[in-house]
Amino acid sequence: MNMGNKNEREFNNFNLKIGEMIRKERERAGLSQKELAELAGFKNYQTLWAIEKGRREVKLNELSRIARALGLNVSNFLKLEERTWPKFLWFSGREKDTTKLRRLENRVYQVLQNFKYLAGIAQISWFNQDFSALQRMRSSYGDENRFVTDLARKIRDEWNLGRYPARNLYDVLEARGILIFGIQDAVANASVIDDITNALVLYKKEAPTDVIVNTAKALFRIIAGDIYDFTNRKDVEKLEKSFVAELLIPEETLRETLSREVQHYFKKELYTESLKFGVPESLFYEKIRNLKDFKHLAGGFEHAFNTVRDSNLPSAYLKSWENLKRFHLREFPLQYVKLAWWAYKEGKISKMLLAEFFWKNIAEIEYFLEEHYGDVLDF
Amino acid sequence: MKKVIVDANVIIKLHELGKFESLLKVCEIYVTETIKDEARFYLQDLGNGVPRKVMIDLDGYIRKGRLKVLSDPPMDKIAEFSARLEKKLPDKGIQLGETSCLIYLMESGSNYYFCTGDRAVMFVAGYMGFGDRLVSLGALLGVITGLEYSYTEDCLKKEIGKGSIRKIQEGAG
Repeated sequence: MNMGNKNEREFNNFNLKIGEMIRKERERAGLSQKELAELAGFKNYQTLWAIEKGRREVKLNELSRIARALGLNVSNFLKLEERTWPKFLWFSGREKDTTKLRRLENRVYQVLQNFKYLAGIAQISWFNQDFSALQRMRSSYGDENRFVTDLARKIRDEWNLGRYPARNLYDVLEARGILIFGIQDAVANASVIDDITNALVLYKKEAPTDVIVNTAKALFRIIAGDIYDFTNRKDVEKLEKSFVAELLIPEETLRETLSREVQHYFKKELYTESLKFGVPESLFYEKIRNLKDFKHLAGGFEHAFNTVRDSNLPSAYLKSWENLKRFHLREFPLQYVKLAWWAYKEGKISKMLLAEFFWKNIAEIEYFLEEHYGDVLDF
Repeated sequence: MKKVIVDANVIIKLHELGKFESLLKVCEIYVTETIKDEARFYLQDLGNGVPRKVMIDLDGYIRKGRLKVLSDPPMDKIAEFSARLEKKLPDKGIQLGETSCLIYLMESGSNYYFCTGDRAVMFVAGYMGFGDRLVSLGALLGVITGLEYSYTEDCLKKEIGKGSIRKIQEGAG
């Protein structure tokens, strides 16, 4: 090797840096060289070993395969910069496969990066929701529980969530620039806090009411992520529950409903009421129990819900929540899909880049978008 | 015969239309390694809403010497070109596979042409000053039924023109 040659030195330096980046990304994803080599379609892992060591130049098509296997886009590796990670707050996680979670984090990170890029092309001055004013409210409260309840009230009022907030929660979140990922196969939920925009990663296979509660929990983490330590679940669990209950079951609506109709309630009707709020019966019951003047009814309610669980009554409501999930909880956030499609149709980005933004092949990208997002895109 | 590097969308489109052989007859065809990787299959519409995946056998053409593969340029060169593009045209995005094709056109003394059906790539080529190295599928094969507007000579000229004008306007500014 002729170290006196400046171009050669720079070239080798470049290879070393790319190799180092690949190694870091692989280790972060929890993959061995052998595993990544297999995922990226290398015949043997020695090639990957040589690339990571900077002893062999990585070719563009090889780097593309490595990036795809890691859930990233190839352009990430060219800038030779350390990645700035969004804050991922995972919860309700029964997912033991950390490699799967890391790759999912990569994909979410990449979509946020691409989203920022596309927003730049569209000249959208995308603003990150600023929750600092709400967070400052805390100093005037002595009681944490009262603070989070008022926080939920304030969000509900400012965002015009209405009498039954679950019904338009997703529309409002999307309008406020919070990206929503509906993931099929990761048994976990997350809040993603980033300087670009915030995001919610939701496990969509759960019961509709559980998904809605998890959405509210994830929102709480985004709003209060800088205040509370969410790694210590015991400390925040009660506060989280208060926030979620107040956000999704406005006390005013509940009181009004119970006062008006309490004399005429039958078991099935009570269950119907809980479904109007889109929450699990346990949360509804607990909310009622917390209302001093209605507390005496709590036992009856609990019994009623257990009894009604098998009836066919809720099917109409379940269907509407399922529709909600189907529309809003998709693999890629709707705002992202719309922006990418717009950029392609306007000739701002090439079809190959569009395909890369969705980890698809150029031959299948239009079919994929039409099949999964045809109802929101102009084909 | 013209030496023409073809984009993945061109290979896929011509296979969909059953016209790839026609292209092989009128020019010497080249693909870069990344484009070859991308143009692996196309979807055939069977009319029942579930398209069939049909594999494209580029290796067969390569073995017979009817198609040649160009190595992608070195990564540092791609990174440099890509950074320059991002700085000059932040509102246009092309994929690195396409970037590597454009680098072949840019190389001094290059006698390659590039055939693409992508408007963003055409614009970038016009802006970078090598629009004259692009050739449309329409110009190579004449009128073909089922060929979208983006593959026509008219579209190519328009997009290259837009790119060139942008460059001139920036220069004037």
